[in-house]
Amino acid sequence: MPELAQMAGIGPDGWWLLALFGACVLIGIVAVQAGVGGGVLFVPIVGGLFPVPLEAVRATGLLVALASALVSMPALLRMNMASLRLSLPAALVASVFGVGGAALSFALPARAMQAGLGIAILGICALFVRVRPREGPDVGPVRGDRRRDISGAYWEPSLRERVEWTARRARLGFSLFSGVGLIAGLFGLGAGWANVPIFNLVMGVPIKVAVATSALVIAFTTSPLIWMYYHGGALSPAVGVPAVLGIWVGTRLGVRLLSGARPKSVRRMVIALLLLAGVRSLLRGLGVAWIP
Amino acid sequence: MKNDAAPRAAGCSATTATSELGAGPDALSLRCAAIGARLGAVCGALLIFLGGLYLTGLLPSRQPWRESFRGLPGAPPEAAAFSWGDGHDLALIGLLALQLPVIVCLAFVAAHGIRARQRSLAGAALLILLIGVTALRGGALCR
Repeated sequence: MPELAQMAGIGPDGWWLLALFGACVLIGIVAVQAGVGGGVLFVPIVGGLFPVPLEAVRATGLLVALASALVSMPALLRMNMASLRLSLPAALVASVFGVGGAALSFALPARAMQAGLGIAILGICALFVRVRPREGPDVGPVRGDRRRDISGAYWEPSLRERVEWTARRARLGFSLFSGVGLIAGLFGLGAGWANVPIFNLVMGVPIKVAVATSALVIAFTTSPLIWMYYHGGALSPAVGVPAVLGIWVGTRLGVRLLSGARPKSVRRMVIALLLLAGVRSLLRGLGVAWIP
Repeated sequence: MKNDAAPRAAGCSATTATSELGAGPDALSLRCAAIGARLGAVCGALLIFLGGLYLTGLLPSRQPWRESFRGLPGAPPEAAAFSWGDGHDLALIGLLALQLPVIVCLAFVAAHGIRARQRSLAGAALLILLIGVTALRGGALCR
């Protein structure tokens, strides 16, 4: 490899740069096909495979999550799938706790962060395996004051009808975003993996609205967190530029390849990958000697 | 493709048709979508340009990208004065500029909420902006 690198005139570090870009293109493709966010794949995979410090990987994970959300945000708003009114309270709670999480991440020892990341990734794996989304809206009775309800409607082409929804259990749902924000700030994992189940299963929002609104929450939440990582000196353009560009290219390719995709097998592969990365990160954090 | 089948059959765009059915986006969402699309494209182009200058080494840099794969990514920004001629600093601006569509969108939502007397909407947007400013100014917590 070093000889090849010299022949190409880019040096061994240049190969890391190209490999990072390529890995991010693949992450973008797989993330779209598996229906997960780019950030949740980026941190464990790049953190495990590349010689980049964990702080830089976490900071870039937030950038990747923001970039992915920015790509999809305009179309989702135009289709009325993403609800601004639902996203803002969730993003507010997540931002407050996310900033706290980011500040805490710089105070904790590196090994504790590594082990914590492993536990968080394994928890996300369990969530992916166990949680079954609900397609339509929750139509059970609503208690309390209806005037404060957050509701909406969208055109569902498969049913050829207008679907109305109302967010329920708002207090419980929005309070759960405190934990989501904390984990997003601590580990730079984005938050789609948790936003969607909270919106869908706790608050009774249809799955399509939950996924779309989650992109808005990610965009609004990651923005303040990026400043925290910037001040911590963890934002590296050498990692960030190829990662963000790679994710953009990958996401667009992923959308084009979506028609021929097999989402179930891609999702299984993603879960296996996350499982491996989570165990590896946990063992590294625990100081197991044979983990590189 | 399936998405627009019904509205297209009626001879109009998806947005118009769903709006007529009462399932379309409101003016605020449409405005935010437009802001996101336009500013997102500008920020993407800026990142490609500034990131390209840094990674190709066309601009001198106090922290060449090759060092990022060998040790800690970078000292806190206060360690060295910002320079408009430094490749690293300009690439960092390109990355930070990705927040611009979000900030402008939040400011627009806050202004709309104030005008329409929707206190919860305006309050939430303003508070998120305030948290952003706090994180920008108070990042000392991390140092």
